[in-house]
Formats: sequence, C-alpha cells, structure tokens
Amino acid sequence: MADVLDSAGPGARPTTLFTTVTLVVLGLLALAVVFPFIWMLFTSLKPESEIATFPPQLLPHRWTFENYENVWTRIPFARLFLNSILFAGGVTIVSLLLDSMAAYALARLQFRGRNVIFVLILVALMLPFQVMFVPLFVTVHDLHMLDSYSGLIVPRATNAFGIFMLRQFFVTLPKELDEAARIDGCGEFGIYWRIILPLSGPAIATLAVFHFMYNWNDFLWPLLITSSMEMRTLPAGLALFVGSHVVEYGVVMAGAVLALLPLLVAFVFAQRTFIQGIAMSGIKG
Amino acid sequence: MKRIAALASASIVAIAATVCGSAAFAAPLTFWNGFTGPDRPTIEALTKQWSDAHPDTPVQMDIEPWDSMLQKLQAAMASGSGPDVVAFNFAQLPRYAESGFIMDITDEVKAGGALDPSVWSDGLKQVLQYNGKYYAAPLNFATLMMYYNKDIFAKAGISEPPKTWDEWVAAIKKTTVTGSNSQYGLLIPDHETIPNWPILLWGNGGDVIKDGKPYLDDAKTIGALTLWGDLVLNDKITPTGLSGADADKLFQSGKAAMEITGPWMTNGFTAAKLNYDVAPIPTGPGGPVTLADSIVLVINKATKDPKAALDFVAMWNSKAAQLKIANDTGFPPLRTDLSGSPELTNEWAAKFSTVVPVSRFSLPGQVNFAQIDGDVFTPMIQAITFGKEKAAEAAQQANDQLSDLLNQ
Amino acid sequence: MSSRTARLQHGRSWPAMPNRTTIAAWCFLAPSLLVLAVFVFWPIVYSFDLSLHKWKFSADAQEWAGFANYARMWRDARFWNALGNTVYYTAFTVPLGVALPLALALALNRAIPFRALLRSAFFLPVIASFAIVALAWRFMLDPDIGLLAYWLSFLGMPHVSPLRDPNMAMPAVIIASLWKNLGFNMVIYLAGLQAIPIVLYEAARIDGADRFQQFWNVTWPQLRTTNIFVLVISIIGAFQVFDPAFVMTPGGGPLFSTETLVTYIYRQGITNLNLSYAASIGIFLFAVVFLLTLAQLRLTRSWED
Repeated sequence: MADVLDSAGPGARPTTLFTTVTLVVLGLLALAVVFPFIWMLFTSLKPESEIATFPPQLLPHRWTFENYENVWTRIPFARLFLNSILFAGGVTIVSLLLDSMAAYALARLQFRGRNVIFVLILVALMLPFQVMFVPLFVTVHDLHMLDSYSGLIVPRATNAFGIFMLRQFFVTLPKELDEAARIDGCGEFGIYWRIILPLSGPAIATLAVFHFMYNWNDFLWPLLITSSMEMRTLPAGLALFVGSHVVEYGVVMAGAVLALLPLLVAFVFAQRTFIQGIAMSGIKG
Repeated sequence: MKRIAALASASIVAIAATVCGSAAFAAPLTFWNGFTGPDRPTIEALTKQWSDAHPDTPVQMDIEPWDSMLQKLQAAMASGSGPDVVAFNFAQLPRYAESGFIMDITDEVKAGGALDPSVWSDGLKQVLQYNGKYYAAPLNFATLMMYYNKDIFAKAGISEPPKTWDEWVAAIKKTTVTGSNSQYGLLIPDHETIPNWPILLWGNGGDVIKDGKPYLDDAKTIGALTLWGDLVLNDKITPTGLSGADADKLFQSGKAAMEITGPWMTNGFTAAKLNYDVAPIPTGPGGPVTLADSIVLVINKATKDPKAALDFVAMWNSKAAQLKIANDTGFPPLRTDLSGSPELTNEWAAKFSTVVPVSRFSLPGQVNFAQIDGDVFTPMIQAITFGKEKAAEAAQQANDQLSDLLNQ
Repeated sequence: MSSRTARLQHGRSWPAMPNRTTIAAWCFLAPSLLVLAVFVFWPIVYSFDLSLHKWKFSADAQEWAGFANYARMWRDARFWNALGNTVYYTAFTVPLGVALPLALALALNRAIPFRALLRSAFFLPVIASFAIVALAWRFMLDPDIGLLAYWLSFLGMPHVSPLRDPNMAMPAVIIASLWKNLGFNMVIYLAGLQAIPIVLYEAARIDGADRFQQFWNVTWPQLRTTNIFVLVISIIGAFQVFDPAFVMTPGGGPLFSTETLVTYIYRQGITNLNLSYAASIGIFLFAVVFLLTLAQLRLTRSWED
C-alpha cells in the first residue's frame, strides 16, 4: 500500500502503543463527530410518526424506505440532481481555471501593482452576501441572465477564496523550476499549465472539492436566480418538504442523505491525489 | 491567444444560452408562493386545474420557502422582474400596498362578483385593505384552537376541556409535572411560531395596539402578562424560549397536555396515533377570542395580463376551491357561506370554522409589523419569561418603544 | 528583503512600456478581475451608496441620508450587542478552529490504519448542509425528547437546553460551528503538509532531531503560507458568521444572545426592509474586516512571498 511509506510526517517509525492510543482517541472523536449523521440516517428509515416520540429511540421500530420513495416521487429528483451537477460542476471547472490563472499571476509574476491587486481580491470576500444580494440580483437581471445556467455560473466563475488559497500554495513551489523553464524558452502559460498545475495536485483537488461542495449545498443563490422548477437545484427541492408550520423530518433526512453521497464520493476521489502528492514531493527533492 | 479565444467562445456560449433560455413563446402567468410541505399538492392541483381551463395563459408556479421567496420578491419587484401574482401572509400587505408595486383591486371587489366581500368575515375584510382600498384577495384562512391530549387529561381526572380561564389555569397546573420526567400543561412558543401570546393578552381585554395606539401599558394587558408570566416562570407550565416547531414536536411526543396551534398539525398528530382533540380556547375576562391568519394574493401592477391575473386570483375564493382546500388540509373555508356545509367532509375543518366568528388578526394594517413583533413584542415576552424584568416594567418599556416606532 | 528594497538595490526603474511579464500577468488576471468587477465590486460600491441613502421599498427615488444610518448604528443597542456577540464568537472559534484542525491534520498525515476513513469522518460535517444538520441538532438537543438529553439523563445529568438558555446559546453555537468546520481547515492543512518535501524530514532526522524539533524546525515554518491563509480566512469568516447562528437559533436566540452582525443585517435588511440601514452595518463590518486583514498581512509580511 502506497501510504505505508512513512509519509511526510515527522518522527521515526512510531511505537505501536502510540499509534494505538492515537487511533482510539481519533476513533472516538470521529464517532462523536459523525453521530448526527447516524441519527439522520436512522431517522430517514423511520416512518414520520415515529420521529417525534418519547422516549426517543435511535433505531426505527418499523424500518421503511418510504421516505426515500417520497423524495424520488414528490419532487423531480433526477432533474434537480442533474441541475446540481451542472451548476456545481460547471462552477468548479470554470472557477478552478480562472482561480489558478489569477493565483499564478499573483504568486509567480512580478508586476507593478501586484500587492494592490492581491488586497483587492481579498476585499471581494469582505462584504456579506446578505448585503450584496439586491445589487447582485439587479445586475443579473439587467444582463438578462436570470433563470439560466449562465446566470447561475458566471457570477461564480471566479472566487477570491480560491485565488487566495492557490496563491498561497503556488508561492511554496520552488522558483528554480520557473526559471529553468523560462531559460528553455517556455512561455508563461506553458509554465503555468505544464509545471505549476501538475505539482499542485493536492491543493487543486482540495479546492475542487470545496467549490463543488459549496455550490452543491448552496440554497439561496440558485433560488434567487431561478424561478422555475426545471432550473432548480437539489437544496431547493429538499426545501419543498419543509413547510412553514409542518416539517416532514423523515423525507428531509432521506433527501439529505442522498444529497451527501456525491460529495462524499468527490472527497474520496480527491484524497487519492494526496497520496500521489507524497510520491511527487519525494521525487522532487 | 489561446486564452483569448477560449474566453471569447465561452462568452458566446453564455450569451446564446441566455437568449435561448429566456425565450417565452406562450404567455404564462407567473405565480410565486411559499406552499412547501404537505400543503403543496392541493395548491398544485388547483393551479393545474385553472391552467388546463385557460390554455392561453398557463400558470408558471414557483414554490420556495416563504423566507427566501420574500427576499427575492423585494429585489424582483424593485427591479421590475416580479411575478404576475404572488401569495404571501396578510401581514406583508401594508408594505407592498405602500410600495406602489401592486394593483388596487377595489373595483373588482363587489357584491355578486367573483370577489364578493359579503362572504368574508370583518377581520378578513380589514386585512385585505389598506387605506380603505382593496389590494388583496384571500387564498386561505386559519384559526387557532386548543389541542389537548385526551390521555393526559384522563390521567389527571379532567373529564372535559376547560371553558373559562379559571378552569384553564387549574387544568394546566394539574397537568404540569416538573422534575426529571417533565410534562407541560400548556406549551407557549414565543418565536418562529404562529402568534400565541397575543391571544393571552386579548383574552384579558388587553392588546398590543388598539385603535392605532400602543396598548401595552394598559392594566388589562399588564394583568395578562403578569398572570401568564408567573405561570411560565414559577409554575413552569411550558419551556421558555420555545419555537413553534419545538412545541409541535413536544405535543406530538405526548409531553404536553395542551397546545394552541392551527389546523395544519392534524394530519401529523393523527398519523402519530396521538389521542387528541381540539376545543375552543377558554374564554377569559375579555371574552372568547382566537387568532386568525390568512395567506392573501396580490397582483403585480406591471402585469401584462391583468384580466387573466384577476381571474386566477378569484378562483381561490370560489366555493369549489375553498371546499377542496378545507377537505384536503383541514383549514376552515374562508367563505362564511360554507360553514356547516354538508360538502365539508373534513371534521377538523368543520371544528376550526366554529371559532371563525371570534377570530382576530394580529397587528392588522401595520407596515412595521416585523419590527413590532421582532424588536418590541418578543423581546418583552422573553424578558418576562426569562425572569429578567417584571411584567409591568417590561410592558412599560416596550410601550415606549412601540410609541417611537408608530410615530416614525 | 522587501521588493521595494530589491528594486532600489538593482537600480531598476519601471519602464515606460509594460514589459512582457506585466502583459502576461494582466492576461492571467483579466477574466477573474472582470467577473469580480461586475459581480462583486459593483455590488460593494452600490451597497456603500445605498448606506448613504434612506431606501424605501417603492418605485420612488431614494432620499439622501448622508451618514444618518451610521449615526443610528452608533446609538443602536442591538448593533453593539451583535458586535459583542460576533467578537465573542470570533475569539473562540478562530483559535480553536485553527489549532484543532492542525492537530487532526498532523495526526492523520501519518501512516496510520483507517486514515482515509477517519479523514472522511471528520470531513463529513463540512459537506453536509447546515440547515438540515441544524434540524438534526435541534432534535437531538431537545431537553425533553432529544436523544442526547435522554441518554445523558441516565448519567444523572440535568435537563439542559442550551439553545433556549441565554448564557449557553452562544457556546452551543460555537461548538456546533467548530464541529461543522473542523474538517475544512483540516483538509487545507493536509494539503499544506503534503507539499512539504520528505527530504527535509530525512535531513532533520539524520541531524538527530526528535519529533517536536522536527515539527518546530521543519513543519511549522513550511506551513507558513498555509497558516496565513487559514488565519485570514478564519477571521473573515468568523466575523461574517451567519449560518450557525441563524439556523440553530432563528430570531436572534434567547434574549438576542446569538445575534451576530450578519444575522442582524439580515433582520434589518430582509425582515424589516431597512435595506440602507442593513447596508451601513455591512459597510462597517467590511471596514473592520478589511483593517484586520491588512494588519494580519502586514504582520506576517506576506508581501515578500
């Protein structure tokens, strides 16, 4: 197994006792952290009438899949799922490209006004959405982008958080690589595409997961921009089970479980680049 | 160069997508509302029925939670992209009427027409108007009643639901059990809920605002706040800081004897096999009273098809629509000529319509209702029930705040 | 040395024509800056303008208000309460939200069994939707019918209702927020740790450094840029906290103990329709965060990277 390599962590081979203790502590902590999800999972397998009871039970008395059936039939789940993939996936791909390009300029290129631009980009993070949403809505409306994929994706095509994160990461890569490439006659885009990006696997993968997850779960933005069920995303669909007075807990939890799965898969995939990252940084030395 | 080309093609694709995405070949009537949850199928069915009968102006309905819909509605109306018809809680009407964005429908409200005011209760008529003009038509009507747990009553030896405040307080005290296996006599949520506390004030003859003036410092209001505040603080008849959803969960779990809420809980409680019933809220010194709530429909002034919009809006008021809503959801029909109708097959709808004559709306006609409720009233209640202030002081303070607010 | 010193030392003066590097840089930045300009900077400018007016919900033109909104903010007790709560929240979540994830990342960067499973476990809260998780939390924490309260009662613990208690609501929100975001910073640190070349550790080990020394002399300095990132983002995020407070305690919490600046902005702007007042609070928040960030960048001398 590749990760049996003593990974980029300090210390000689740790003692078995230390490892066991660490494992136990982490295991208990992880169980505590994951507990609400265990509750959610079991709740999704209970009929609605069993959910608010006293004394409370974790396990269902009558196991049922009716909540999952409801999620599938009472809302256009497949369409919502597809829209979520298009929205979150589209934003992730476009944003990774634009973020990394901007980060490259900020991290690797010397030019006048670089620090000012850097601070300016950070400024984009500083006004909360609850203040900006009115002018944002008006802008999207004026550009005739309401209720369309472009209206959903273009305002998110770049992300100051992503630019900042990648800039910090690019800065750690040795500058000799760039210089060697420039001497070889490689253009800036070539350096960016063929040297910097491949070396940034873990950071790019992490950012990809963040972008995907943030947009996958984003409730308010798609609701604001879209006004038809065909364009809606999954969170908006799940909200249809949360009434103003009555909440259908079982169905909501079932929907939440289904919505979590793609993200979990994305995370597990992203983790693989971490292991590759170790191998690369070893060779690099 | 490669990058510029990529960017250009991306822009072209984006523009093309928007142009194609926003083409509207039919002339749909856009309708926004917040009927998520179990009410949705009924609303969708009625809308589809109307659309099928009017194929030239099909309804394009957008359902999302009320909070985000209202957030979007402001921005949309202000930028001229609002829907043709929108449903919202009656309390929102004053601010939208003042905004100038919604249509004055006074001419359409006339006896014998589709929107006949003679079948509306006085309270309802009042909240559909602003400054003497009609701006909204009603979609539904809810009243609150007292749900009680029959098993808990039986165990406490209470044979009948209380009818007066004295009986009520006695029953509450009898069914409240403090300690580790607690039981609550009467659940009183104070935020994120259909208003409960105003009913307790009205029952004593008190009020928040009376005849346009703050009434919190009136002796009857303070009397109610003192009585019920002490019950909450000292007798622990209810948890403090309760939200509406918390209260419903507690009642459904059999942890409380009584809860005041609307008809929407009946399906859930019945499915949970709770042994319960509803009764009118016990009468206090101020007379029998309960709270009314209503979702109303307004028409965008900028709508391109006012005739279709009006027709759609009036549909909800029709006998057929009201019967369907009542029978599906248990809400009482909003038309007074339907109470006691043999076509009303839902027993809960029939029960909830018995208290319509004594129902009142909370804070009608107030543009600043959100501030009054969130910044003045609820903090006052919490100050009392958390024991931070005595009822008289809290009420006086709140009254001053209310004066300032009303004079703005 | 700073770039300014470098420029002076090399006797470089900026050329009249932008050089190839500068053109390249602007080309790389242009798409991002364009999108940000239209969809972020313009709304920020608009919001500032809004804060200088008295916005009315109507088609009429807005009234000029000058700094009246800011004056009102100054006198508003609810505003100061929100600011205090926000500072309280930040003071706890930032240090804990940086130290704990770092510890987790260090532990999970080692070759221990079940590593991938454990990482996924800690990351799970991050990928869940807070609104739905809050429903679950509120259910489990209900002192009367909640699972956690029920189990704890067997251990003799009293009926505690953190979300309805003015003194415990904010700690509960802080804990919920830490729980939600632990995995986030953990993953960022993991990415940062991955980038540290193994050779540095090998060299240190050859020199006889023990685990602590390796951490202090190799890991910590190599994590510098990651640390700056995590710190800046955490403070910006903490000051703008909305979701944890809003979904766990809608309405501002018992006696407004969990009302933060942004939930107050939401209340004023969206619930009360006082958009200009909300904008002014937003601009205040913006200014505070801006100054704090600038200070951090200066103190850590990020310019020199």
